[in-house]
Formats: sequence, C-alpha cells, structure tokens
Amino acid sequence: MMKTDTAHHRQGRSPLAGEKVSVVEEVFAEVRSLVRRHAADEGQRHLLETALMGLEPHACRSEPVFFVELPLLVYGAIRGDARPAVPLAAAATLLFLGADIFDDLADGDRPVHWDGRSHAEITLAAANVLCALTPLALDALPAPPERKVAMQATLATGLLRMSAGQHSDVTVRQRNQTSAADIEAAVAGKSGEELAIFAALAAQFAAASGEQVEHYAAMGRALGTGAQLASDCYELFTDPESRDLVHGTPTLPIALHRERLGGAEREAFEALLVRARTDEAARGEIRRQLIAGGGLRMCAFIVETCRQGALRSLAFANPREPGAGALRELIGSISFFPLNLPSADPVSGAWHKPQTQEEQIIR
Amino acid sequence: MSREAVGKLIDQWINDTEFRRQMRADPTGAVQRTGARLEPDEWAALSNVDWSLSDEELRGRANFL
Repeated sequence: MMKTDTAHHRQGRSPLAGEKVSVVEEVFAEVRSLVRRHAADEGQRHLLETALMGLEPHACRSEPVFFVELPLLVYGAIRGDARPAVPLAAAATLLFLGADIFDDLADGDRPVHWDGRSHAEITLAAANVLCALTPLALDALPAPPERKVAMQATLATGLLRMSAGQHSDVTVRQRNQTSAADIEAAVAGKSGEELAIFAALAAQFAAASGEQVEHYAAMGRALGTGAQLASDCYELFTDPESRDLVHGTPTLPIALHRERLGGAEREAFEALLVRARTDEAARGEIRRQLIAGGGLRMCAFIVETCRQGALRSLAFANPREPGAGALRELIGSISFFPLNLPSADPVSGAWHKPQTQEEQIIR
Repeated sequence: MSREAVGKLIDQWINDTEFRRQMRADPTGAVQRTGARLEPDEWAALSNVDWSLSDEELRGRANFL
C-alpha cells in the first residue's frame, strides 16, 4: 500500500479539486468522533488519537487520497450524490490507518508521533483500529441491517485477502531471487485488495447489484495494484532516499531487470544490489542500468495495463456521470501518461464500453 | 501473471531502432507485426503509452507517491 511516510505531492490531480481539503477535514472529524464515542477509557482514547496523528496532514497535502476519494466517488457514480458516503470514507480511513501501522511495523519504520510509545502499544493501536473501530464505523452507517451484514463480510474477507498479500510480501522479501510474477501477485494481494475493499463497500452501501459490486471491486483491485507499482517506481527512480534499495526490498523493476540478465551479468547485478544497501553510487548505477535495460519502461507499461483494467471494470459497472468522469480521472492519476485520454467516442465524447473480447483486443 | 510477451517487446524496443520508430508511429500495428500475444488490457495499454518519451523524460514521470 502507498505508505504515509513516502508522501509525494501531485498537485491538482484530485477529482475533488478545490473542495478536497474540506472533504478530508469532514471525514477526519467523523473519525475523531468515532474514537471519542467508542474508546473504552482515556488511555485508549489517547493511544488511538496518537495513531491518527500524521495521517490527516498527509491526506490534506497528498494526491490522490484513495481512502477518502474512492469510497466517495464510487458512491457518487452509483447514486449521484457522494455526500452521504462521508461516514463510509471515515471507515475506509480507519482501515487504511490500521493497515498502514501494521505495514510500518513490518518494515521496521517508526514515525515520530509514536515517540514514547512501546512496540506493544503501537501493535495494540493497529489492532484496535482495524478490528474494532472499522467494523463499528460500518455498523454506524444508515443502511438496512442485511446490507450492513454483507458489508461486514466484505470487510472480513477483504482483510483476509490483504493479510495473505502482506504475508506473500514478507516471504517474498526473505527470498533471495524473487520472480517478477510473485512480486506483482503480492502487490495485487496487498495493495490491490485494499482498494477493492473501499470500492466494494461503497458499491454495497449505495445498494448496487451484486454484479456491479464485483465490477467496482475489480476496478479498485487494478487501481490499487497499479498505484503501488507506480509508487515503487517513484521510490526507486525519484525519491533520493531510495528506501527499498537501502532495505534490500525487491520491487518489480528490480525483478524484471534481473530476470532478463544472463548468468555473469545477473551475478554482477546481485552484487550491486548488496552494495546499494550502503552505497549511494551503487544505487545510482542500479537506476542507470534499470533505465537503460528497459525496466522502467516495462513498469510504466504494466502500470498502464492496470489503468486499462480499472477503466474496463469501471465501464462494465455502468457508472453515472459526473461521478464516472471523476473516477476515470482518479484512475488516470496513477499513469505515467496522464494526458493520454482513455478510449472515448471521438464524436460524442462518451466513454466507450467494450462489448466483446475481440473488441477489447482491437482497442 | 506472466509478462513474458511484454518483456520481449521491451527487449526489441531497446535493441532495434527500426522497431522503436514503428512503435512511435503505430504501436498497435508494430506489435501485431511481431506476432506477440498480449492480454486484452496490454493491447489497450499499448496505444495509451507515449512511446515518444526518452528514458530521461520517462524517469521524470515516475513521480507518484
């Protein structure tokens, strides 16, 4: 998932545009209200409020903010008005927060707002946010009981899939020579499933049909996968810290490049990866080799493939305008080629929904 | 999920200047002529990638969070 501590600003790319900050503030007010209502005592309330520190400023300055925007836009694309989904965006925010804390723990990261707190307290906060506050946030939604039961099931099954993805991610890192296919599958499981949950919950809350819910979930899955792969490219090629190289974390560009090298070249590249953990010059050489070897171009293409998958699933979900356009813009935000518009009818400008596999292939 | 066909196309892109020219002019046609078997979303992606970008320009686009 896109972690809070790798925040990068992509100004002007949020479909919520000018009202984004006020919407984020509204969502966080709802989250704080949930914490106040449900904390069992003062100590727990303070711990949960600490967990929230850092997330709201991140959400206000970063774009896109999937845990706020995706639930609102999916709901709006089904019902027309996104505003009733603000409490659902609060639930999605809690889900993101809990998963983000667990991710930090897995990576050995410790944001400054946790200073003075023990590892056990941080783990407890993540568990409380994910296992208690998120289901309670869903339970508070104004929806019929049977719909809320279905949403709780979506949350539980989605969390299990996310956990399986996280487990794959952890074991992938422990292996010396991980395949690109394994890395892509782990990203889809971890980051793809998170956005699939956001989108599916929003569709269910909006009383969409089962088929629509599946299409929106598939859209979220493709979007989350592409976004994480794009984020990994940012960390590797743009972020001066290059934390994945420093930590020795194998990401897709590395695995794709390694797989296309022969014996001696591969051994030399492996040695370079080891040096890159402590040597900036080695990190620069890895970037140079990846770019010259086509690793970045291939990743950009794969991210574009994810974007196309998300757009295709969205088209099959029959979204209504203007929410549909906002969702297409959100999906486009992950692309290396944001100015290339998705396939649209050149006369009417209407979004073209492929009818058959042959037609999809021709496109 | 195998990206073998995409990997071969990227290899050809790196090693074959004529293929690069063809990709910039007509990516779908250029790939069809290679006989590559892509997935539907990969075909769709093909025509949305800006093949005119240099390596440095592409690196400048790696700015997602």
